[in-house]
Amino acid sequence: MRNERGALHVAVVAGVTVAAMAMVVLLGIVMPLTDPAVGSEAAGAPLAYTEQQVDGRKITIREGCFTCHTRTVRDAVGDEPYGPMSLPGDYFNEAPGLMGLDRVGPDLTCIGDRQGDVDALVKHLRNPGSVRAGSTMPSYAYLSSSELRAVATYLTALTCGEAE
Amino acid sequence: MKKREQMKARVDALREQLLEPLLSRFPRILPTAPDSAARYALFSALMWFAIWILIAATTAIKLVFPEFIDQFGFMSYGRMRQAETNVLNWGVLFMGAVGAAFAIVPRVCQVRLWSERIGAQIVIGLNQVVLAGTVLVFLGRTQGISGMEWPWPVDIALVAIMVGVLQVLMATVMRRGEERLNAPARHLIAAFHVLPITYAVANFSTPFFYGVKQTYFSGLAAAGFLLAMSLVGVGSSLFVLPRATGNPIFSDRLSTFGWGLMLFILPWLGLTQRILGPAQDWVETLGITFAIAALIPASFVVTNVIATARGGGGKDPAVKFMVGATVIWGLALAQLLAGSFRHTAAIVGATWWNESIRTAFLGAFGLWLVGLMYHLIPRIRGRALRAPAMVNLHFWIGTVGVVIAWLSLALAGVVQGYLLRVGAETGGEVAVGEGWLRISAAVQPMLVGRLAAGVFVFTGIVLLLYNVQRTLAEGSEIEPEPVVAPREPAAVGGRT
Repeated sequence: MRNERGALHVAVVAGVTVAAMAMVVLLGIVMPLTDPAVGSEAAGAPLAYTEQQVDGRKITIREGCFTCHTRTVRDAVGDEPYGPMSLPGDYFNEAPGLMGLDRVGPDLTCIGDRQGDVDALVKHLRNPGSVRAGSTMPSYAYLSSSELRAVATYLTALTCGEAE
Repeated sequence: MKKREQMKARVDALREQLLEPLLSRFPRILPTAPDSAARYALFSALMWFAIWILIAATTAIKLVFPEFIDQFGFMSYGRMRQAETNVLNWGVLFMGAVGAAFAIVPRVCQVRLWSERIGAQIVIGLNQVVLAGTVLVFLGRTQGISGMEWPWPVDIALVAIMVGVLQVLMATVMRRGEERLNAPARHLIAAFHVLPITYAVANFSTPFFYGVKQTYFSGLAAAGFLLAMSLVGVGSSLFVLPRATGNPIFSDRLSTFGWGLMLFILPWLGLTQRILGPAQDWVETLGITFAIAALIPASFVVTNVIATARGGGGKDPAVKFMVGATVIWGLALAQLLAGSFRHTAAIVGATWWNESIRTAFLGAFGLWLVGLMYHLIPRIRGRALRAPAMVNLHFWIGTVGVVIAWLSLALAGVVQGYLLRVGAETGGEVAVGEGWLRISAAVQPMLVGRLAAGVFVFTGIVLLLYNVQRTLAEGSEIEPEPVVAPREPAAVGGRT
């Protein structure tokens, strides 16, 4: 550990650091990854998208919608109005998962169940303030009509499979 | 053996005759003067500081006035928010960390930097990487994962830069004149091991995973950055405080334990990002366990820094910055723990609370970097600080700004979480549709408070830039501090 004068060796410093990182990668990543709970047998229902909806999804990533809107319903009382709790299987083939970290706006996991009208969504995206007075959502009027339509159809695809 | 000597002399002669005349034709991009690489990095960080505060001010204004410049895609909130995070993380904090390492490691090891030329080239490359990544994010080329927005070509370049920094540092440390590898060097070397490992593992794995599995990697990236910047900040504190106050490091053993425990505990904190989320319960419990354990290194580090700084508040303007930043950092770890328990996460999870923790950590890293700049820039450039009183002012308005932003966002998180919970319990519509307007109206005062805090931080950075510019232009000349100095007993060692 220490040389004859009591000083730490460089190799010890580097080795401790690399060992700490190796441990967190092994136990904090490899073990959770190989857990069947998130594997192919995980509970949940993956979503299917049309080509237009895939385009819309790409636009939502490009515009950074995930910086304000989460797409995850947590196991908490406050999240109940957003729909059933999200399960690992709900995110199959969602790369990236767009779960987001904090909510500046409402959660979008089941937005398709709440609002299935594409035209209303396009109107909202173009000028949120006109649909909901006092909304802090920015306007996306700079997107073309076809882009806005693609985003809106993507949003209508985000359903939670609840028969309502 | 003799043949080897001859070969070495021959290579040296060739180098002197052929390579050196060529290299010395470009003294600005291939400098050899001591501290050139550190100077490049610190001044680049200052430049990115100025760019960052403009982007950050725009995003903070957009949250209060959503119509503010909403005509252009590249100025939309979603893109600017990502650009703001990345400019701050890589342009300011990582660049500053490189400057800190290039200045501190040679000084505490009593040896010149292995290569100023390569160091300067790495800094120039890092500037290009940050510029490329920022422009790409403004153009909408993002990976769509919070904390790892940059696309893979930029990631490869950034990892190459990180490995380059590590190579320069390790080559420097291996040639050190001091036999002891003391606390600041230990922290900085560890930081530059942590960052490439976590960043490369996280960014190069995400394309192969989806959904929940990706979140393990984004958590690792965030925690790796947190750990590396904490190590750089604590290392800078333990470097600056003994020199500024004349006290030895309070306890070398405490700093060794704090260092090792930080390394083994902080990288797990990424698992606390999504408590009650779709990932497995045992993974969340693991994260919460390490969040509790993180209080041990936090208390060690805060104790050590405060005890080292005792009685030195007035001796050097950097002392206040170092102590203030360390205290904010320790409290931010406590706040992270407070919001990680499942009962509290049910309320404050996925709200402004997360943003408040981020503000506290980045504020602490920023204060550490600013303090280091006030300490190092006069000594590297050989100019006395033009306005030392302004440094004191900057400390107070900078700290007050960070604390106001931090507390107002934490309050916003609690208000948002309780409104959601009360709405769900009473059946009142606050979570969706028109109801959300009640939440945005409730947190609006706190966002205005954050904007006001931003004005404080903005003013502080203007003061910093003005002070540095005046110092370089008209500061009285002092002897630049040599890298390899005659022994300074206060600067190294300490009680063990």
